[in-house]
Amino acid sequence: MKNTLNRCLMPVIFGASALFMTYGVSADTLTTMKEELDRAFESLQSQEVPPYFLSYEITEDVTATVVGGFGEVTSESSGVSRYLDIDLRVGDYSLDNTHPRQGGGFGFNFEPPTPIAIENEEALKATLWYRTDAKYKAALTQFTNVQSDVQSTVEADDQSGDFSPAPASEYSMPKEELVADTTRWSEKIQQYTRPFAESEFVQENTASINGDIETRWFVNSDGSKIMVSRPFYRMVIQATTKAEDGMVLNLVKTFEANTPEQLLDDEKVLLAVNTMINNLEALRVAPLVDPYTGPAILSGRASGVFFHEILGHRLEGHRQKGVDEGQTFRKQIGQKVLPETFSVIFDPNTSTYAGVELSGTYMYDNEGVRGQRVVAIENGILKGFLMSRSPIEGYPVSNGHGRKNYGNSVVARQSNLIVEVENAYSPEELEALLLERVREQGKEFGLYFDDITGGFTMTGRTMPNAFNVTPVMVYRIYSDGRKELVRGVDLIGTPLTTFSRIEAGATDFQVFNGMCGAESGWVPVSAVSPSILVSQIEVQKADSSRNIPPILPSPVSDPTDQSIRHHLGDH
Amino acid sequence: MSRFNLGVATLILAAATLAGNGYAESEEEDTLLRALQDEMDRSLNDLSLDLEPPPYFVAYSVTETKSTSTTYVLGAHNGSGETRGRFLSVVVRVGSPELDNTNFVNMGAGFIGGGSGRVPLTGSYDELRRVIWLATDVAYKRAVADLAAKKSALEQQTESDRPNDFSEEEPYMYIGEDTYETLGIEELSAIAQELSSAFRGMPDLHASVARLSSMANKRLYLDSEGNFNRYENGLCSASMYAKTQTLDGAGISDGISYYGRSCEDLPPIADMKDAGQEMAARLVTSRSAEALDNYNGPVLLAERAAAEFLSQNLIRRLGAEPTRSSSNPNYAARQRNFANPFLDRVNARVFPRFLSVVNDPTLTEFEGKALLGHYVVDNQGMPSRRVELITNGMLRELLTSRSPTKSFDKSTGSSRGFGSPSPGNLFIEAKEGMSEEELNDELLTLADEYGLEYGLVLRKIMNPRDAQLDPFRSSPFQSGGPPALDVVKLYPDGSEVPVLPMTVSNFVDSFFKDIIAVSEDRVTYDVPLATGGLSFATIVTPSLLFEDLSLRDAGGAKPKLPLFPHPMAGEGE
Repeated sequence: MKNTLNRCLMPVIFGASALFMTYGVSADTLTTMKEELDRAFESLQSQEVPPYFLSYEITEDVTATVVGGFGEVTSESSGVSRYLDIDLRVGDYSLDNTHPRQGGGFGFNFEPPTPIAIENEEALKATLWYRTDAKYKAALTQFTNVQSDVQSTVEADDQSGDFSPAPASEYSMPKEELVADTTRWSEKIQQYTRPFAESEFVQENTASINGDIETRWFVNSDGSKIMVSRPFYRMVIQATTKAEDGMVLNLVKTFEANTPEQLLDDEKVLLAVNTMINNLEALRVAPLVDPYTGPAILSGRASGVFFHEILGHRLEGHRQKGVDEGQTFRKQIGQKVLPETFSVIFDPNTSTYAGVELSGTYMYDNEGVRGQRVVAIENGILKGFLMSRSPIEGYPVSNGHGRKNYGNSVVARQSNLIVEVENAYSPEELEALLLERVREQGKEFGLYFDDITGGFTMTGRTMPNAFNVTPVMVYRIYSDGRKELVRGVDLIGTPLTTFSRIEAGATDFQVFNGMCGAESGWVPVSAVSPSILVSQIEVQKADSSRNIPPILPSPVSDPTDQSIRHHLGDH
Repeated sequence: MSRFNLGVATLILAAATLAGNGYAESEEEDTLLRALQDEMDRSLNDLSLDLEPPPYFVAYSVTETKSTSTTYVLGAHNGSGETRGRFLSVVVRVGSPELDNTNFVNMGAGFIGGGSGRVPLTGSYDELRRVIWLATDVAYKRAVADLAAKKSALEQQTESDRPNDFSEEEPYMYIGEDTYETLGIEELSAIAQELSSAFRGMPDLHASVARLSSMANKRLYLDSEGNFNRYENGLCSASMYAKTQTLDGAGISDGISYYGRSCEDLPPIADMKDAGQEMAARLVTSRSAEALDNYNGPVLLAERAAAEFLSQNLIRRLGAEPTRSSSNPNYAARQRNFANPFLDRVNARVFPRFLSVVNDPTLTEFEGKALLGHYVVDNQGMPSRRVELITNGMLRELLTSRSPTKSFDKSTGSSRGFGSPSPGNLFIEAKEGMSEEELNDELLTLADEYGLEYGLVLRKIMNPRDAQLDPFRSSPFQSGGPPALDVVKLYPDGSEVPVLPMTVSNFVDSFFKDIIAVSEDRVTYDVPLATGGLSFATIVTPSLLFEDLSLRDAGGAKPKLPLFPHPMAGEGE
């Protein structure tokens, strides 16, 4: 896929499946994996083109999910899955079988995941053996194609190799256990979604509570042996209404935590639910927005998504050398790309911000490299990139951002994006600054983006290098300070122009947690950012359903429906 | 189990009062039934867009599903899952039975269909009404759009004798009394673990797996014509699969599946495990079997091979579906190319004179064996019934749903999920059969006539569903269709020489008439009609001797053997 489309921060509604029993797992999984890896690696050294690197990663997900809506439970599920990923390389660090081929780019590289059993040595080793053999044979074919491709194409600008050395790591932690009281989860689904049933205008409502213990075992031929286990508890509440003109208006609220107790905070959740209902009712009658350019404030959550989509993806290392990539920042190291009061840091080691769990936290990436804090932009100056073990010129080693979901090949991905602002304004001061820009630009109003559900950005060359994020709560702020909720806009633009128009940041940091999908699959990420003022943004009309609202009124509220009256009378 | 057959007038009244009259098995179900009835009434009376007709027919089905499944490899847990949910399906018809929104492909607007949605497991009346209301609204709008597009498309066509879109039928009520529960994940796991251990200590196998699953469905159906049914269904399956390569690299694999309405109906675990071990041993032996590039001549499809052959080649020819109209003439032309060739063979000979084919879903067992193809009522609420499809070789009738064709205007109660109308219990009946010995002699006599030193016997044909168990599958079959796995050359002295898997090539309908003899004994063979579903056909067939079939090597690509030994190779030797 030549153009890389990154669709990120869309909350995942169903992570489905669960477990109410514990399956025995060999305490020596890592040892068995390493034994077989060593045997395979040594055995294949006798081949004419031997492998120079081999790694195994097994990802286990133990999950439980309860789904419902409108005060009811609609499904329950649970499950256990384990999948194997093998990285086998022939050639050498400078040129190997993974080298991007002409026209191949860093496209999505998904293979059907390989299920693997790990409870006994025979089962574990048999699958590792069979799949390693297949992977080696495929690598030989890839390498032949790569060598042919290199000879028939002009020399690349970036002469860095295909793989970088990394120190061996050994780490193991106790395996987390899933805590899934699905009876209580069902009660909470009912409790939290009941208010939607009482709203006259909410047309669809789903909520899910999902627990997932992700455990990864990783070994490689460098000597790394790593086992990490992490709980994810997530609740997603979604509700839609429909305006009279047929526009579907959708709001989504996600909550993440490391324990179910932290997740199921009644006061916090019910407050969010009531806010969603009020916002939906307000959105339903809000005026439509026409295309507009002018000054705007993006709230902390909105600017978090904005930075993730527009900046973060362009700082991922492999995008600086992929021949099909736009390489927005490749030549801008040491140059100013943001106001000097802004710094942008990626830190997988930070686990919370202001008491909120951050989803993009991890100890080791999917290449067994310790996740490192990366100051990508310091005082507005571009300092570096997010690196996997795929080097780029000037950045020969990984900083622990090689990430993937199982079945995919690793590329550099974001972790916890943290925007820091010096000389920050208070929110009130930022709004005053907005109004000043409104007046200076002769505009009737500026825009305030309060919440965003997600978006996408294109970083390739064959399509416009542009972004589109999807705001859901947008206000016009008139020069007299009056605020008016509007609907039906997408925030669009191109990255360098938009960065050059970022003026100031506020003190009101917010966290956006979500799942980011790109070449290497879906990975959890976070963005921490304050409100920012952008002197000029552009919005376009959002795509919208043309379907009319339901023909008949809701049977729950239809006063003419005799059967309902009868039914209610029965009770 | 209770069956009712009521008159139309009585039934319309009955449908309005199903709730609260004992047709629901619980208070919860009574609430669901009332919600369905009330929303159906409202839709029939009030659901209408300006200038568009209201529905003339509405049907609801609600299916509650519980399922558990687990997979083991070499005695180790590989993955598992449990789910529970309840789903609503809505069918809305606008227009009239003569011309309505169905049997039409509205290009650019997706497939024909109604609304659907999840139904709360803990449903209050209000919430049930809300879900039903929204799903019906979607189905109605879609129906109106499809009918308008269909009328427009038909105006551009000259076809004058098109059949009606919906058949007139007597309303039917059925309340099943059997109940089903799923087996817990622990019990399933214990069986799967034991079965998967059948393949331990066999380093010549490249991969193996055992999978157990248990499902239980509760289904409730009602429509505006007064059809009503409520019943439960269950399924327990145990499957094993293994694969390896021949010594020259061709991939070979085999699988076995056992099915029962409950896990108690499965064979004893030890028997299943023995069968798995036999399968594995046969696979390993096959690694060095002789390859036969191609073969033309007499072929004996023995027992399971005959049944699987009929499953793959006969079942889809037994359903009659109308030709769908489309706004795109190219679609209609393509559809004709893929139409069931038996549609044009009614009252023509399709089988040899000594064979007849009967579909009888009303039977529950055959020679003491439960028939999974038994069912009482189909997806459209129609009762199943015996149909004599082929009599003395002549095709007399095909299976139908409520979508009439030019030849058949009534339902045979054969609408069973996806695709064409499908059989339940399919009996291949012969005027006379031969003993195994006689059948072998006949094969060898024919082989001699063909100038062959041997005749070919196929004892097993790959079940495509078993191939899906391959944990590392890329494409299920290397070339052609599902291969025949257990193939032997039978020589006049009675000796047998195994050959590598072969595929029947270029099968056409007329080949059925080349069946010249069958066995006196018959096997029963269960065929899932859709992967993961509970609808089955059971084929009861004798072994089939074809005078002339063409087979070719199923080998395909021959990748190198593994470059280094299996990790357990040499252990225990």
